Amino acid sequence: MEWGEALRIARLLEREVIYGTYRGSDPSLDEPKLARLVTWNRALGIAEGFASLVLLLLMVGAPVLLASPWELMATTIASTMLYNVLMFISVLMASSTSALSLQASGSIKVLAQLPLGREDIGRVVLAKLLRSLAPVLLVPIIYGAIVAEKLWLPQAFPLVALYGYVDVLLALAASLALSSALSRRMGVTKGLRSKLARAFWSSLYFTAMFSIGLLYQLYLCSGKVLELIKGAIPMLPSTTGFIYPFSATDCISLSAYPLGFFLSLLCCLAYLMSSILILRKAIKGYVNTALEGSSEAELGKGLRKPRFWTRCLPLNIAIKDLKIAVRDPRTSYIMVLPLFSLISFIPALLNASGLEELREVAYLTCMTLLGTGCILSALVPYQLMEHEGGRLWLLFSTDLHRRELALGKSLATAIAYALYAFPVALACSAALGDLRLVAYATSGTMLCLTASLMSAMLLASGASVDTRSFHISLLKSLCLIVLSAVLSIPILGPLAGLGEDVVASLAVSALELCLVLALNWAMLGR
Amino acid sequence: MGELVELHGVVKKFGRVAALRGVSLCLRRGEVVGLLGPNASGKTTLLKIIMGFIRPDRGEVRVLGRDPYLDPSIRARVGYVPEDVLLYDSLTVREFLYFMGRMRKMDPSTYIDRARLLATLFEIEDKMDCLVGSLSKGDRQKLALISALLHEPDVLILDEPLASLDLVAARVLKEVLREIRSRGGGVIISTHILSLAEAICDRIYLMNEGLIVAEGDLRSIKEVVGADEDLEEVLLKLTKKDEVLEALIRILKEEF
Ligand SMILES: Nc1ncnc2c1ncn2[C@@H]1O[C@H](COP(=O)(O)OP(=O)(O)O)[C@@H](O)[C@H]1O
Ligand SMILES: [Mg+2]
Repeated sequence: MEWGEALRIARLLEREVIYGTYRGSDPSLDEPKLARLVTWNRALGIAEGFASLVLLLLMVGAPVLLASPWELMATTIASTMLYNVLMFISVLMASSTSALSLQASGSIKVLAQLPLGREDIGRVVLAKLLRSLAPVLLVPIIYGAIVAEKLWLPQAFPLVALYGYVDVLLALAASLALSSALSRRMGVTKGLRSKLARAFWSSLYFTAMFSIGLLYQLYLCSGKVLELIKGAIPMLPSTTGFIYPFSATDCISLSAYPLGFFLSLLCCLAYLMSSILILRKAIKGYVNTALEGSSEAELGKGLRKPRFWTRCLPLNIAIKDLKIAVRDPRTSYIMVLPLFSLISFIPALLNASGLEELREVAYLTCMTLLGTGCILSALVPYQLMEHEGGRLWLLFSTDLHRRELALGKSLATAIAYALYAFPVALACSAALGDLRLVAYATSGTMLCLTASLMSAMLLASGASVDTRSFHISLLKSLCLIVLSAVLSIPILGPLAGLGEDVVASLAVSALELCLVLALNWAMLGR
Repeated sequence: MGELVELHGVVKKFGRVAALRGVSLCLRRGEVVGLLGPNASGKTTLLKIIMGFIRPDRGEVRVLGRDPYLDPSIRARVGYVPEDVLLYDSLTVREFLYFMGRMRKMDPSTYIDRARLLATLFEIEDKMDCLVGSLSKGDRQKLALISALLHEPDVLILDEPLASLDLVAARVLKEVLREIRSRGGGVIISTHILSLAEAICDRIYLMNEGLIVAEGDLRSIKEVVGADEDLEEVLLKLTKKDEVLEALIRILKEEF
């Protein structure tokens, strides 16, 4: 199959998704209207893609462009490191959700009924993933050009750009492998084994989410370790320049010498070829899994009788949602995304010298967790409602009120928040001897309930039995996030009242927050 | 008075497509009514209007004496199974049924007993602790039926229920319908399978292109068409040729 054909089918799949989104809420949906919606969504997607392009370039390109001559090399190396990590993370985050939803929607099985081979289907999958990434794919070229221009080192351009594509290819492969691993819960029978298997797959997902942050930390740490080794053994620098991912940064200094450049280029091309092979394998695995479907595991017996408090309808819905979330984390991973922010504090906690600094860091860690949870809470109901898509007939065929539905979704959000906020807050306040943190966790839970309730109400008001998936416009989601951010000022506020160092780390955590938000947002838009 | 469902002159358009073009029907107590018609004749839309999921553009709808769109509380006495059944795949069958029981505000002891009874009837009691996602298509359909029957509804609305049910399940369904009928409830079933309608329904509404083209019990419709002629054939022609349709309408109009 030609690539053009694959792209055309990928466009059809997108159209299908858009139809599914609007079908329920808009009874007057017809052919021309759908065509308009498709155009509009496409324009929106492109705009979002360019927004992420600008964001990425601002983060990695701007420091290089603004660096003063004497710190240029150091800045470039730091930026290049960040550039590689960001390329990998952003592609992984964006494409793993598309890959999962593509698999869950069953469109691949439909494709298999057309006269298409598995290879062709793989090509369609790749086309679909690449389409949604298109603007971001320009980053390596632009960043490579910036580096080459600033350093007066034209040879650096191909190296920096190609390593960017190696990151993209590997991230694509990782996202495909992740989503096929998630949906393949095969051949497990009743009892303990199935429970273990479920626990394994759930934890796999979370581990994958967390490992992105961990990898980054590890990467930074190993950089330091390498520096130490380099200092100890003077001959080593020439070899680390060829080991991915370090080579992606070291190639810049190597490219200053003809031989170094030549070897570096060869090495880079080798990595490119192997990442293409890895991606091929991942696509093959993904298509196979999607076609064979997942035979879900059975569960063991011994369920208890229902409790009296499940007679409250919203609570009943919340408990069901949490149950599903534990078994099938992709239905609601935004719930636990705030825990992600803990990772960036691990080095600070480990490196803290003295009790005073440890206290400060612990305080900051806890407050950031609480704050991020609040801000993200408006997005959780969106994901929970998304999972109801096509199943709303179950709820609406009872005499459930929309308000109760919304309350159920926000209760689930708040309960999940409380489940991580209180233990962390209790641990930190025990360590610090400061009870304020528990108070913040309490108010955070309330804020979370409020923010999520607003977004749940918005979603529930437009829901009908025919709603297959939910759509909040860019503007609405922006408003929701701003609203919950405003609501969480009481949580974020106390942080500003700490010492000078803390302001810097606050800036870092704010930046991280923006990143998480931007990424989520990009994912929600699809 | 006493009629479970009443529709008068119901019109519903989706954009330029007129799904219903003035439909009137009624469901009396102790009656099983069939909606028979080819694809896209408006059966599903009609059932959704009866459930109160969609508001008709024109016409009057009464379910248990109330407007189902404005007063969703009547759904507590109605059971519904849609055409394509999506369920919560990561709950077990038992968890799912208990969840639905609680959503119906039933007493735990009642829904536990009822779930067990119905699961045994439909022969899926050995799958109570399987994940819903692992069930076959037929078993999912059975599960959806069970959840619609859990609260002993007065009105049961089934959209193409027998598409993937096996023979045993179809027989059980017939039993269940008999039980609803005997306690004064009513059932509306949409289908395009004639033999099914023949086996189950007391009365039939024949639909085509958003209109009810004929109404009556199957025997009288058959008599009109002629005993030899295969009804399936007639229905097929009905959907294709306007002259046949018009002829049939004329014949039926003379009869009723
Ligand atoms: N949500 C909707 N949006 C647009 N058209 C619809 C919608 N639902 C039904 N229709 C149209 O209404 C007509 C009747 O459909 P339906 O009630 O599903 O018929 P049946 O169940 O008899 O097959 C069809 O032409 C269908 O395309
Ligand atoms: Mg239908």
